[in-house]
Amino acid sequence: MPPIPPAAFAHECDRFLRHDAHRFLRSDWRRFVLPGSELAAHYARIERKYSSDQPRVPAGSSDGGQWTSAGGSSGRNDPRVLSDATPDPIRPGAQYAQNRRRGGSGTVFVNGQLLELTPAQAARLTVAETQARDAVRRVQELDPSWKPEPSLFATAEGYIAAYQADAQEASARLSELQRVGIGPGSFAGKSIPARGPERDFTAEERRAINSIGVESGCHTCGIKEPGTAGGNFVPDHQPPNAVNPLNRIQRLYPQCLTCSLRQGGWISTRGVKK
Amino acid sequence: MFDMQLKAGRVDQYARGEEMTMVAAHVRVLNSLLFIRDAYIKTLPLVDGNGAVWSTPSCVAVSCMPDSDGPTEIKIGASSELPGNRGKLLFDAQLETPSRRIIVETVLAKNVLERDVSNTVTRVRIWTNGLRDTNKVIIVIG
Repeated sequence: MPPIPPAAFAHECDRFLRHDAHRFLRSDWRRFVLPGSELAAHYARIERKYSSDQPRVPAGSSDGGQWTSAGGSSGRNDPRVLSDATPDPIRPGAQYAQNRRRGGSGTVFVNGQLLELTPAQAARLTVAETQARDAVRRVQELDPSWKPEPSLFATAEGYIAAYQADAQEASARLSELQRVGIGPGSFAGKSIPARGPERDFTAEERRAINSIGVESGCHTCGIKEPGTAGGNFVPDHQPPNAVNPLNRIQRLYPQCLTCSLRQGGWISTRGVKK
Repeated sequence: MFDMQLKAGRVDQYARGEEMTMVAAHVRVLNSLLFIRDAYIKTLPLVDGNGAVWSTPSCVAVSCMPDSDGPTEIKIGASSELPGNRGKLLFDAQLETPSRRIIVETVLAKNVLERDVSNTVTRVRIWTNGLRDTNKVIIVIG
């Protein structure tokens, strides 16, 4: 078999090599490879292919984001150069960017600098952002004025962590709301459709709610004793009328007197007016 | 002279010796919860659902019958008009009333009843039938 010319071999390597092959190279690979060997040359070529310190063409030009050689207006002295370098540390009292990205760009604007994300970071950021947005939306359906605490971040990892923290905060808030009867509780079983926000329940609706209550208990706390003298569960609109300004479709769940009172306390302290 | 002072707000109907009459309302109470408080201070108690009464220095929350079970009879008036069959005394304390007006409202901040009072601190007593889902709440001022 005739030997493959080096140029052809390099070309074939480039064709079938992962674009992010450098990520699979250990930083200390030279300890394990014979210097001057073909493998060493190959690894060195892969390593050269990616260098975080290599400058890029700034955004705005036709080939923005492409690797470029140092020097000229596109070099590291250009303030618009994109870099993975760690930005300045956070200074107390300073103003920082808090508008997070939109869309799936591989760069983020943080602390006045555009930070390049690795593919892994971009994927994690997309997941964290989606989860956070979904969790916040679910909370705001019940508590429209709620927002996660604002956070400061100066790195791509901080940016991802901020979204993860938002999702955790929203999840905790949702649990807190469920405990006071805002939103179907963790013991919610069957329910019946509500005719509307009105509370003129029919005898049939009362019977159905009592039947569900005996079976699965209060939807908020799970207790099967309603706590009323008449032995009736309270038909509870979910979402509650007080936090349903958009008139979303409601359902009725059985609720005990204690949880109904707690729900009323929460609604009154929120200053919700009908 | 007395009428002029009354008009200027330097004296009120109590100083004049007038007795306020007990007024009543029948209301289906949302979330079985009523607040009796000063008209301008809204410092509501934390209602944890356990028990039948919760209070802060200017507000008291009382549980009553769920709206789905029927209306609750709410009465407010002076001690001299207390009915004979009062039920069980649930609350007896001084409430701060700097606005000299006490209101009874629901969780949706809807006023059910209101009364003027003579002092910035007012003794308030509340009687019910003894149940958490009471269908009778009698509020006595002074």
